[in-house]
Amino acid sequence: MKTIGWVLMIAATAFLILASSPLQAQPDKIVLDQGRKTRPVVIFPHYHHIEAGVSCKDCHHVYENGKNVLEDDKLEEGNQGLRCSACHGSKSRRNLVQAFHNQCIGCHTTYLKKNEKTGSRYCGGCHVRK
Amino acid sequence: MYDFIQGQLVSIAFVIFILGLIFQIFKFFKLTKKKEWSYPPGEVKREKKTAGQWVAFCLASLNGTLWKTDPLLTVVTLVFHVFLILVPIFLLGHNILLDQSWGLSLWSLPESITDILTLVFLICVAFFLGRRLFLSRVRAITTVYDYLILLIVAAPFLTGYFAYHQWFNYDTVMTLHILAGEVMLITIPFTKLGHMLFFFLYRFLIGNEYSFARGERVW
Amino acid sequence: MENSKLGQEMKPVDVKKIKEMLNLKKGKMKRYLSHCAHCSLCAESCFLYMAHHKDPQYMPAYKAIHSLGTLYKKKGKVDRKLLTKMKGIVWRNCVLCGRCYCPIGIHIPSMITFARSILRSQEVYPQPDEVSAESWL
Repeated sequence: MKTIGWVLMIAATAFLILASSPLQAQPDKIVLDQGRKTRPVVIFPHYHHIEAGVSCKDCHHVYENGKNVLEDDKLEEGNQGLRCSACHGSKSRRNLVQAFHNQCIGCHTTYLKKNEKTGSRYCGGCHVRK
Repeated sequence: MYDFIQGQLVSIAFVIFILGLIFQIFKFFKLTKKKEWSYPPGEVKREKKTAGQWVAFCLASLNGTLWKTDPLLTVVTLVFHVFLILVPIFLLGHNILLDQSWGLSLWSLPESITDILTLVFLICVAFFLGRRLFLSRVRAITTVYDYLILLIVAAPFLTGYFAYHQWFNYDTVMTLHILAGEVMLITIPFTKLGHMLFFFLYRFLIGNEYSFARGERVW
Repeated sequence: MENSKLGQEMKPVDVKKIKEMLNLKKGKMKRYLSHCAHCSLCAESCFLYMAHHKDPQYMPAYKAIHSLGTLYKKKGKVDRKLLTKMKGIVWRNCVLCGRCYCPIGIHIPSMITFARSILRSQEVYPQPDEVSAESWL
């Protein structure tokens, strides 16, 4: 049963990616590529996450004293300062790989623990080999 | 069930593995309290060799070892055991998980290399299996249990190899991979895989050659 | 000779005594037996194995497993027929020269010695007149 669930979810994801029209303000999928070719790059279904009801500032953040102080008007397409790599580089406390992993795995794990519908629990669920 | 295999069972396996090893070490030293006379006594100092002499000595003594009687098996078994320990420790995926949960990680090998090393390891397993099946002297002391142990050791690597290439159903393969690793960890202290530990502990009993503490201990 | 041999075979095996003896060295022998990886690397170190055209029966591991190993596996519940078979293994197929080499470090002679003393406790041992005739194989 679980397998069918996964297949359905992946199909739904694919459907959403294909069905999302260019009129959408947000990019439907983002390639997360940090240049070090170890695992296949992650194709992040951004629009799918908006559809699932994840708020923008659940992920996008500028932390100051433990508070997310990111302003709403900065949340627009093409804002280079919004990119993860704008802050998370090789010199920051969390480098880009760690930032991606913490953000994705952290959130998916909480969903898993609450037994709610979420993506794969293993590495290859996001790093899909073609 | 997924959660149990991925969560609690990992810690349970590691706790059983480590406590089991500690128990075996403790038991071993308790059973071998007696000491026996050994030669050479501690006061006798061995002759000092130059580096060249030492290399020549090592090469010459190789002829008296298994290297001479079965060179192929010596190489295969060495590769098998080295990879068995090193590949999982320096695997990128494992180190990322370590980094995620504990914030520390070891240096890791590139995945294209570990992929090849895993394949070499599996070839070594196939070699052992072939020996068990076709060599009469090995078959004479082989039981079903031996095949089972070989399977327990090979399973994490085989499933890991499948998972890396994402063959078959990825989630099932990954779950089996974690489960296989846990089964191996749990069985190590209590089955013949215990030779991982006792290979070194038995050196306390062997006098003179390849011995620890002059091999004075006796059961 | 026939009578004494018959008498020896008729006498019941003292399972309790065997069990007692097995328990005496359980910690050591069980570990030795369980850590044997059944790799057969000890074979070439036995001169009897080499002299018998590499017959697996003469392999040190084979001798230990099929004498002491069987005793532990059956928890001492053995019959006289099996003990007689073991007698051949531990007295004829092994001379206790102590040259066998185990890569893991298992001391095989001590296992054979222990099997011998267990068999001796059941009065299973080669008679002086048997040895040369090899009739007890």
